[in-house]
Amino acid sequence: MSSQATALVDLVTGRTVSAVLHDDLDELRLIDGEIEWSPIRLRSLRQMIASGQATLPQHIHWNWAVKAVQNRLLAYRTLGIEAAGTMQGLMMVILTGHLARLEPDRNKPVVYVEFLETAPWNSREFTEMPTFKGVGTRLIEAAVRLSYDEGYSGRVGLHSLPQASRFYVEGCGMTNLGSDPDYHDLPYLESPASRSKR
Amino acid sequence: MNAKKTMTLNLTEKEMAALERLCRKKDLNKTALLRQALRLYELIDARLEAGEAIFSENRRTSKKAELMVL
Repeated sequence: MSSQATALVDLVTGRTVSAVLHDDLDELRLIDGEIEWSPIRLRSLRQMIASGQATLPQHIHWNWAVKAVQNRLLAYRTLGIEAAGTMQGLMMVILTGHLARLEPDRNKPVVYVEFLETAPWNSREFTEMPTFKGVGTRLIEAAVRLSYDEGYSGRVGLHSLPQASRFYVEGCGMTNLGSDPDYHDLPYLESPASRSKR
Repeated sequence: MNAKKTMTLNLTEKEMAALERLCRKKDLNKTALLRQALRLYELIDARLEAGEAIFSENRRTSKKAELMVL
């Protein structure tokens, strides 16, 4: 595992704070992340249901400890951002088997983002007062850099949960190619080589 | 990034031609293409070990064929 400096915005003070981007987390770090996040997710879920909230976070069932088992294969890589001594966001990518859909790079490899989640205390779906801003953006930027490192020219693709599509288009400059009938009708988004931000 | 080790690979002319053709098609260098192939091979092998079958499907006819992997 290697790491590099990055930054997030502390939404309480409005100041930029130092963070660390880890580019290859092992299974134990993912399990540690789930141990930290899961009780907070569950408490939030309980509160949402008790208060009669109609719309629940669409990724409420995600479990990074289970994903950790998949992470053993070469095809998978998990990156994470740590700040204030805790994991603030996690992203699992697949480095093979996914091809670009946008011309002119159609059928060339992409780094495919399988899962991306910010810690529940940073997510507006779980709390009205998030702690840090910028976790998702930093992780997608890291995916683009990884795509360059792998020789994929910055191409990144992902299927988004409907609640998150706007973030990927407006926050990350990705192109929404519409819902994919071959993948639960979820919207597919791609960042082509020429437009990916390094 | 993880430290990398170097190896020498001996290929026939035909194999090298196929490798170069795929590199041009996928816009990858030889190392990147072979690393991708290794990851994919390991992924498929893990799925087969887990009892899954891998199929290819003709989009036009919907005809499926099982992919045999060594």
